[in-house]
Amino acid sequence: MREDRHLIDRDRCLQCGRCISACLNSSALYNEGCLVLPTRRQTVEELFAMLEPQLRVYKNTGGLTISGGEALLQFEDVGRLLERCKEQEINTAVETSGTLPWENYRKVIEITDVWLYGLRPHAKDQSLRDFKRSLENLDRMLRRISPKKIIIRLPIIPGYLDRPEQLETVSKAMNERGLHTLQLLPFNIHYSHYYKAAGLTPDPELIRKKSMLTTNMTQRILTGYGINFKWV
Amino acid sequence: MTDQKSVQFSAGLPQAMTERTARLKESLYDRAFGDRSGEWFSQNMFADMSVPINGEPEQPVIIRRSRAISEMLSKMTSPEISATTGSYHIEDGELLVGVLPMGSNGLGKVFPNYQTENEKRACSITNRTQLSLLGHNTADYERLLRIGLSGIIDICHEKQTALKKKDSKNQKDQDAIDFYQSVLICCEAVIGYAQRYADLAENLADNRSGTRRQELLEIAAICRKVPLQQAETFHEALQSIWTVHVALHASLNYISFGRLDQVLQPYAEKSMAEGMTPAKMVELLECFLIKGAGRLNLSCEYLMEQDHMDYNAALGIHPYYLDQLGAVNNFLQNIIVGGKTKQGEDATNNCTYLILQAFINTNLSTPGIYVRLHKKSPTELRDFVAHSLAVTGNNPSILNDEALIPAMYNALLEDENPNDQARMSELRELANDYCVDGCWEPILNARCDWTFGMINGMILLECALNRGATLDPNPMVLRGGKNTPNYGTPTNYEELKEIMSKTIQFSTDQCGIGFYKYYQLDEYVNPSPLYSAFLGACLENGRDKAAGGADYNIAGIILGGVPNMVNTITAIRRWVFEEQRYKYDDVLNALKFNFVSPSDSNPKEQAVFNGIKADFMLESPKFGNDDRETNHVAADLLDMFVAAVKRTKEYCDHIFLAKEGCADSEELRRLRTLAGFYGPPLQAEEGRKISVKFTAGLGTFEQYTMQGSGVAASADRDRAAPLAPNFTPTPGTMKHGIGHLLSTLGSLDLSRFGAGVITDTCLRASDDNPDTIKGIIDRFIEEKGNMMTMAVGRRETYQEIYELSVAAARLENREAAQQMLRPYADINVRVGGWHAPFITMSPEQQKDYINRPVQG
Repeated sequence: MREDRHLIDRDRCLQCGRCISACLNSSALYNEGCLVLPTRRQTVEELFAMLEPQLRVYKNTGGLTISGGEALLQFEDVGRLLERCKEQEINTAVETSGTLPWENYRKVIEITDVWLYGLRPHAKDQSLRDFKRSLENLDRMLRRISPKKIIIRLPIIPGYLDRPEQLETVSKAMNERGLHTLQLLPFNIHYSHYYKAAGLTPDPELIRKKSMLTTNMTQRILTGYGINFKWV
Repeated sequence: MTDQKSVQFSAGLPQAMTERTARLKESLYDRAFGDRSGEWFSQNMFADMSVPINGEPEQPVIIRRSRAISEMLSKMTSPEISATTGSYHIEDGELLVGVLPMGSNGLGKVFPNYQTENEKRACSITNRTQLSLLGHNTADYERLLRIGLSGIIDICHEKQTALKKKDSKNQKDQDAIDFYQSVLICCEAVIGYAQRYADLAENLADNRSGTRRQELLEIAAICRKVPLQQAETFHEALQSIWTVHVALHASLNYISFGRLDQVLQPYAEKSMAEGMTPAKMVELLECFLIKGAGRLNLSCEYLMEQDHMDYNAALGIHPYYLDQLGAVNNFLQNIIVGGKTKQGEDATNNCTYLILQAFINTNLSTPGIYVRLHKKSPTELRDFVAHSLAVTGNNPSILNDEALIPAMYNALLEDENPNDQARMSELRELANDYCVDGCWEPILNARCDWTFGMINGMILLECALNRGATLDPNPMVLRGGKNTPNYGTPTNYEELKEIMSKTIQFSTDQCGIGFYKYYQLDEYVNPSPLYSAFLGACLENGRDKAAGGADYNIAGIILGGVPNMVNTITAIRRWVFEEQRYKYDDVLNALKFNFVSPSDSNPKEQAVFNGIKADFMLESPKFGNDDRETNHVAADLLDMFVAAVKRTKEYCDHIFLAKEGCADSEELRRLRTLAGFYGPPLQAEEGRKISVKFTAGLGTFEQYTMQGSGVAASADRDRAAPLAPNFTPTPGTMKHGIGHLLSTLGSLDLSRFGAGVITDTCLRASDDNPDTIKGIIDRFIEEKGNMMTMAVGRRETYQEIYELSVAAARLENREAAQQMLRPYADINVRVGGWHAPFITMSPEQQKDYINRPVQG
C-alpha cells in the first residue's frame, strides 16, 4: 500500500493472501473486499462443513449443483463431497461437458441425482473429437442410469453455437438416445470466452441483435425435431 | 383439520381486498400522510378525576382510575370533542365501529388526570406516573365473548354482596370491594360507549338507503348487543373484541389481541353454518385490521406537534432508551395464530387461514401477526406462511413452539413440586397456550402479569474489560464511566469469563430487585380494573393485577447486544490472549478512541490501532456464520446469563418472599430495606401470593440504535454505531446465508429462554420464492430457533428510500415530500419489537437496514 493505493507486482505474487490481511478494506478470513484470492484450497470436510447449513435449507426444494470449469477433473474429491451430501439425503447435480475420461464419471455416477450435460457440437478437429467423446460417455451413462436423470444443456452463443447444423446435430443425437429435454442457456457476458477462444472480439450490440434474430430460428429447428426445450 | 381440508380452504380465500376495504385503507393512508396533531385529546377536554365528589373523602386510587376510564370513553363519544378528535365517527363503508384515540409508544398518551398532587410529588422519587402503564399483555377475549360484560358484572355483584355481608373491617376485604366497584364502573362505561355507537349508527342510517342503511342498522343492533352480552356470530365476536380493545387502549393499557384464531373459531363455524362465506369473513377481518391501524402516521412531517410523551410515561421499571421516532407506529397489538392447543394438539383451524389472508391482503404495518409453528404443524400452514412472506415481504413472524413451550414450562416449574402430577399437567397446558404480547415477549395467554428489565450487554462488556468502567473517551471521567464494581483485569479467556459473569450478575440483580419493588408501587399508581377483569384470576381473587391479582407474575430479564459482545470477545480471545499479537491496553484504547489515535503525532500508535482494526473487524469470525469460535463464545455468554438470572431469582425470593415455616429475620428485613423495600415479605399477608417467575431473553427491541450511541467501538461496528438488532448478526457480517445463522441458533439451546430470543432475518428479494422461505422456516423449527422475523427486500430499494427520505426532509413543500415517499408506503420492515413502515423510520434505522439483505 502506497499513497492509499494497492501496488501489486503480479509476477512476484505467491497467492499467500498476506496482503489481504494487511488491507483495511479486505478480509482474508471471508475472502472479500478490495483484494481477494480467486481460488482457495480446502479439504472436502472443510468445504462440506461450509456448505451444509445452506444445503439443509434447500434440502426439500433443491440441493447441491457442482459446476465448473470441469469439476470432475477433481473427481475423487468431488465424489467424496457428493457422498457427504447423499449421507444427509441432499439432492446432487453435476454439470459437465462430458469430455473427460469415463473413469471420472464412473466413480460418481451412482451418487449424482441429476446430470447437467453440456453438448457443444463443433465441426473441427479437437472440438469434434470432444463432441464424439461426449456422446460416448453419454451412451455409457445411459446404460447405467435413467434418461430422466440427464438434462442436456446447450448455451446459445449467437453466431457461434446456434447455427442450424449444430442445432440439428444436437437434436439428432438426443432423438437417437431417447432424450427429449433440452435446456437452452441464453447468452450472458460470462460466455464471452467462447468468442475469445475463437479469436473473436465479443461485441455486445452485435450479440444482442444476432441473439434476437437467431432465437426464433433456434426454436423452430428444435420444435421440428420434437425436442422439449426450455430457456433457463 | 387435515392437510387436505386446509388446502381447499386456504386456496379458496380472496386474494385481494374488496372494494370496500381498499377504499377504507386508502382513506386511512390519506389521514396517515396528513397532519394528525389536531386529532389528539388534550387535558382541558376532561374533568379532573382526582377531585373528591361533593366534599366526600378522597377516593381510593383504583376508583379514581375507573372513573377516569369512564370519563375518557364518555368524552371520546362527545360529538363536540369528536369534531377535532374524530373519535365518534363511522366511516362510510365500515362494518366495525369505534375509534382508537391517538397515541403510541413513541408519541405518548393522553388520559384524564386521576392522581392527587400529593401522590404526584411522592412519585417523583420513582419511575412511575399515572401514564406509566406497561401494556405488553393479552386479554381473555374468550371469556368476554362467552359471558359478555353482563357476565363480568354479575360476578362483581355476587362477590361484592358476599363481601359486604361479611361486614369485615379487614383492609383486604375493603380493597376487594373497591376493586369490584371499579370493575363495575369500567364495564358500565364500556357498555355506554357501545350504546352511543349504536345511536350514531342508527342516526346515520336515517339518512341512508339501500345496502348501507341495512349495514348501519346491523351495526347498531350488534353494538346494542355486544360487548354487553355474549357474542353469537363472527361479526358480533369481532365487534365485541374491538370495542373492548378500544376501551383498553383508550385507558392507557396497550393490550394485545392474543390467539384470535382460537377465540374466533367457534363463532366462524357458527356463522359459516348460517351461510356467511369465508370471503365475507376475510372482509370483516380486513375491516378489523384497518381499524387496528387507525392511529398510523406515515409522514414524519408532523410528529413534533404530536409528541405527547411525558416524564416516565413510557415503560418505566428500568432505564429505557426510547427511540420515539422508531416507536411512532408502535401500538403493542399483535394477533397470534396457529400453534398447539392447551392439550398439545395442533391448533390450526379455518380462522388461522382467514386471519393470515386478511393480513396478506391489507399488508399494513400494524397490527402485527405471529404464527406459532411446531414440528407437526400442517404442511399447508407452512406453505401458506411461506407464500405470505413472499407476497408481503414481512408477515407473519414465526414463533417456534419447539423452543418456547419448553422454555415457558421450565419457567413455570420454579417453586413447584414436580411430583404433583395434576399441577404439572396444569402448567403444561399453560405453556402450550403461551403467546406473545404486543411486542415479542412470550407470556401466558391472558393468565399472567408481565414485566421486564433490559440490560445493554455492550456496556457490561466494557465494564468487564475496563475494571467496572465504560470505555468513555471523555478525559474528565479518567478511566471511564463507573457503571459496575471493579472485578479485576483479565489476562486470559477464563478470567474474562469469570469477570463477565460477575458483571452480568450485578446487572441481573438490579433488574430482579426492581421487579419485586415494582409490585409495591403499581397498586398505588397504575391499577388496571378494566384490564384485570380479563386477566387470569383477578376477578376471582378480588384483586387488581397491580396488586398481584393475576395467577402468575412473570418478569423477563433481557440482554441486548449479544452478537456484538460475542464478536468482540472472540477477537480479544484470539488476538490478545491466544496469538498475543496486541497488548490488552492497546486494544482497550483502540476501542475507546474508535481506532483513531488521539495523538496526531503518534504514528506508531495509529499503526497499532490500524492493525487492531483490520484484525478485529475483518479477520475475526463473526456471530451468525456458524463458526466454531464464535459459537463457543456465544454459548459461554448465554450460559453465564442464564445462570445469573437463576441466581438472581433465588436471591430475590430469599429476601422478598416469606418462606413456609421460616420466620422473617432481622437479616432479611435489613436486606429488603437495603434493596429499597420497606414492608414485610410479599407473601406474608394473607391471600397475597405474589411470586415472580423470572425468565431470560435476548434482544434489543427497537433500541439498538440508541443503545449503541453511547458505546465504544467493537469488533463489528464503529463507536456510537447501532448495536446488532435483537439477537441478529450485526448487519453486513453474515457471509454465507441464512442457513448458517440457523445452524448458529441451533448450537445455543434457545429453549432455555422464556423471555424470548428474537432473530430478525432479511432475505434478499431475489431469493423470495416460497420454497426457499419454507426451507428456512422448516430449518428454523428443526434447529429449535426461538422466534424469527423476516423482511424480504433489496438493498437498492432501502438505499433509494433512505435517500428520498433525506431529500424529502429538506423540502419546504410538505405535500411534495409526501408524494415522493407515498409509492413506498406498503414497504414494512421489522424494527426490533414490531413492524414499521420503512418510510417513517429514522435515517439511522433506515441506514441500518441497507446492509441487511442476505441470501436464503
